[in-house]
Amino acid sequence: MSILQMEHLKKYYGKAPQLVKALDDVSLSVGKGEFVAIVGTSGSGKSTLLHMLGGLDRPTGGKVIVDGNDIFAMSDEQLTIFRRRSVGFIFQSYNLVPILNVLENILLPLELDGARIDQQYLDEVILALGLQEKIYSLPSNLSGGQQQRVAIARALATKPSIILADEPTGNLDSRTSQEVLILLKQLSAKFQQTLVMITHNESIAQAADRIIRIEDGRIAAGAGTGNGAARQ
Amino acid sequence: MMTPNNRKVITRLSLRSLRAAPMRNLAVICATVLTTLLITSIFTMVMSINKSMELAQMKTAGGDFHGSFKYLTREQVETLKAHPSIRESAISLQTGRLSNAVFTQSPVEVLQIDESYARHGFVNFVEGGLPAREEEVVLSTWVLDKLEIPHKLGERVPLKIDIGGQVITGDFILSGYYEADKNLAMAGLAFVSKAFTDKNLAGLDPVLSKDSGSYVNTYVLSVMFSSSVNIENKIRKVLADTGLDVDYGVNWAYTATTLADNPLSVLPYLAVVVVIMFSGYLLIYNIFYISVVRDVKFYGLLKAIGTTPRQLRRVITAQAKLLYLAALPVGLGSGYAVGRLLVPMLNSFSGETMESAYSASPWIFVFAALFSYLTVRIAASKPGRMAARIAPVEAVKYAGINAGARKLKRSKRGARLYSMAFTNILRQPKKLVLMITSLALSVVLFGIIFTLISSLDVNKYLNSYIAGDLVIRNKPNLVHVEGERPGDAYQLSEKFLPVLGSLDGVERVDNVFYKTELYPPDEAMLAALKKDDKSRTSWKWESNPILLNLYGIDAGWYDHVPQDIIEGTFDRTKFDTGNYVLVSEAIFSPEDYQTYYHPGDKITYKGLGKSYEVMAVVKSGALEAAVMQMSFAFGYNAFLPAAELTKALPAGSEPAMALSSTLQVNPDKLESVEQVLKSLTAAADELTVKSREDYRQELGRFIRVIQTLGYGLSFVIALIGILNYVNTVVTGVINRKHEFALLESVGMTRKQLKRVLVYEGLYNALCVTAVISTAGALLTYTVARSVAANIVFTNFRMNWLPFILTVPILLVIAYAVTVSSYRMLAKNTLVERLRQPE
Repeated sequence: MSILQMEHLKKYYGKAPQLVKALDDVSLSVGKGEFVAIVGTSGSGKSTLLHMLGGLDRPTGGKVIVDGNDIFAMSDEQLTIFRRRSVGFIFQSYNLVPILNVLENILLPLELDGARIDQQYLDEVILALGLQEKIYSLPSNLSGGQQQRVAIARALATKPSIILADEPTGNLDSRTSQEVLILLKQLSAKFQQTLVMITHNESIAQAADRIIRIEDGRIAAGAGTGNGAARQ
Repeated sequence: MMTPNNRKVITRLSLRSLRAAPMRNLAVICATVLTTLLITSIFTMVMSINKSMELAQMKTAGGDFHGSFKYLTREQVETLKAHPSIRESAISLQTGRLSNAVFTQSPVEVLQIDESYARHGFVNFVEGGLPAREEEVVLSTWVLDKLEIPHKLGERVPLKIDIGGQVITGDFILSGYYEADKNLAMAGLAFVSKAFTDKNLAGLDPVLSKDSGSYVNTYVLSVMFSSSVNIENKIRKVLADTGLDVDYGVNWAYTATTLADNPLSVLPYLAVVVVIMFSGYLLIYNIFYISVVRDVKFYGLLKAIGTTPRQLRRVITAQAKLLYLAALPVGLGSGYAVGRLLVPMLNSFSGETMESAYSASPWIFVFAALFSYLTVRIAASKPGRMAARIAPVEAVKYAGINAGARKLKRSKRGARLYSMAFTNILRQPKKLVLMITSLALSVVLFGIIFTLISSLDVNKYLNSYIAGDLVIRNKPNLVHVEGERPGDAYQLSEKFLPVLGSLDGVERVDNVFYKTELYPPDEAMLAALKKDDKSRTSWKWESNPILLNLYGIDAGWYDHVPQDIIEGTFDRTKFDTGNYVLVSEAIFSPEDYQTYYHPGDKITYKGLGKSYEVMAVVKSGALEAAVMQMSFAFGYNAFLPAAELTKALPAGSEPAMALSSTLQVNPDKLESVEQVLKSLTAAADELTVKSREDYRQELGRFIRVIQTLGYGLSFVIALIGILNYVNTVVTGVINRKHEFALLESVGMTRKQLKRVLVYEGLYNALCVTAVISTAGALLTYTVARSVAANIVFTNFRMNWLPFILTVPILLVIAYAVTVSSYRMLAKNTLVERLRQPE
């Protein structure tokens, strides 16, 4: 059963003759619990694709259906609420809120929603990410790897059904990258979340269930599967 | 949606954001303090002036009671007093008049009053208190002076009290005395004890005395209601409830000029408040706007994570509210202090010396707090909406907020520096408009004040006080409303008049003579009075003479007559025959002038023993420099040739006193004549010598007050405008740091960059100039013109100087700000700037 569905998605910038087609009629379907890697060269439109999936940006045409909801039919307010409940984001540059400490950053989406905090789950996530010592530190006092782990914890906090990661290891060295990737994969598997990740690192892509290649705003032919067996 | 739980997180986000931007907070707090300060001080001034005016009028009216019921019997007093709407009341009993010979020209009423009446009627005892025993009496200091009795308790005072036909003569003992304020109607009152009235008035029927017009043994019940709003209706309600039909009066101090009843008089102040709010708004808005633009990534991120637009708006407005709360006490406190400091200054505007009363009404603070809250709230709401609209992708890729995609045009002339600069300033049209508005506003305000001050007409002012080069005057307070003048009223007449004309250098002397005339209303007057004075329907005008001012004027004054004529024509030769009179309109209420007579009517003045034909009717303020700044209720001014007042008068009539002498002096001898006059009059306290120059200086003081206030205000608003400008330019440069580095890396020299910035500054200044020289000038012209029309001593003249002066100042500011922001930019190396993330 597909949890994420993209139908004829288009995103154009500018006007003719300088029209830029960042995404040009892309259709895609991701199943529940799947780990999909999106790869492509710089400027291929892969980030735009991810932003559309998460409802961060609005498309020029086409639909994105998440869990049966046409997300662009929603108002800004509805979309934001939908996003904070169902989608967890992890960015290349971590994007932690600098004025909040680690715990506050992790709890932010939950608190914005006014939701009850599942302390047991939270402890589990924090422990798994090895952040228990740092929960009162400010992001500026953390290393890159630690910051990215906080971002992962934040993405997981609301128990979203989908995690979208935009080059989560892009700013990390290779050892830390490996660590972060393993954590991400383990946790999403554990909580049965769908994981869509952008990367240009082939070895990381190989860990995915499926690899999708984007070229010039279109899905390149012959999108293969990764070496990982379909989970469950 | 907003559960208490997520409210907490929004508060936390706001608090943390606050902590992260101390400089911005300081700026917002300063702006809020400034706005609150200005608004509070305006409100303090308005309320205090209102209170000062009320006080002055209450003193004239004789008390601060809201109203009174008149000519009552004892039973009626008790019935009315018991009405639940009456908060406080005082009872006074009409006892009669002093009929000692010295009081024939200036009647003194005798009353029996209670403590409450004394307290509310401004009877402030110097010594002693209300009389208790039959022979005790309370008098004012001027009555004592008149009777030549020392100000001492226990003095024996021989009085004759006319209790409506019957005269009681006896020695009374002074049980207390009070200061007679010149504004105080109470000066002409004497108070006796209840023992006295019980004994002497017992047999008098109030109904009869009311009919006879003496009103002896009738009561007046003065009352206070819960508030001074709509007093007349409250009185009518009391009458309706009690079923009584008696005369009543409303204290006009509460109705004539109070703000509540005259909302138009608040308009200028309201306009100033609006201008202040608008400048405050511009400043605070700009600061928040810039902070949102700077933190666009932060807000984008919050939104990506799941902060809804509504929550984002709250993050901004909550910060604004917290900063407002921090600024409020300081603003209110300092504003109140400033307002109080300015009140005496403003009170000095009104010609008469007005006692400054300070209002500490909670409404001042409530309204100031409310208005400044509105300013802050409105200023923060737009940036809040802007933050809410930020697309969450901004968190990932931020390239500044642009006013939409701009169509790129291929330049035919290559990259010219000036056209580049021009494109640059148009990049953010909203900011440009804001900045121009803010600067233009201060220039317009300055222009209005400057134009007003230069429109003040010195001669117009001087002519209302002095008609020649020098004037000798009997002090105005020598002529009293109901009292007798202390000192020698004839100082000027006897000793000086003969001398003045013979002084070396004096070319001409024009005197003004004065006497009062107690005039029993004639048919013409009665018709007007009875029609108008509704609240005193049963007042016996026939037996209550009205005081008139009679003026005798020398020929020098004739030139000033025609300009004030309402009806008829002035003929000098006919007037000189002494058979004609000029009459002024009578003041019925502060805005209501009526005339009793028309040209051709005949009036007989007993004091002059002659009858005159009305030649013309003049305005109430006619011959302003000749008359006293005072008139009696329902009385008018009558002008006759000086010879008529100084000729032999019928026996028993007080001779006219010389009020003033106006001298025309040879300019070369002016100084010596002034010296001589000053030494001549030095010995006589009653006389003052004033030159045209003295009045010119008085006007100078008046102008300085306007200047201090007006220029102060426009300075503050100019400061706000400049701050806004600096803010806009500096952030504009900071935001384009990367862009500039880029330009430099592709070959633009620093010198060229600087020139681009300087061009931008020049264009900004030119835009402001364009706005102020068109719309600004029009606004200045309209506003200044309408304000000038309301100030007496102005002759509207548009003054372009401030506009012309503004241009170089604007250019200098634009240049200075640009160059200093460029310096800031030039500190880092090119590579550093290229590397820096935007």
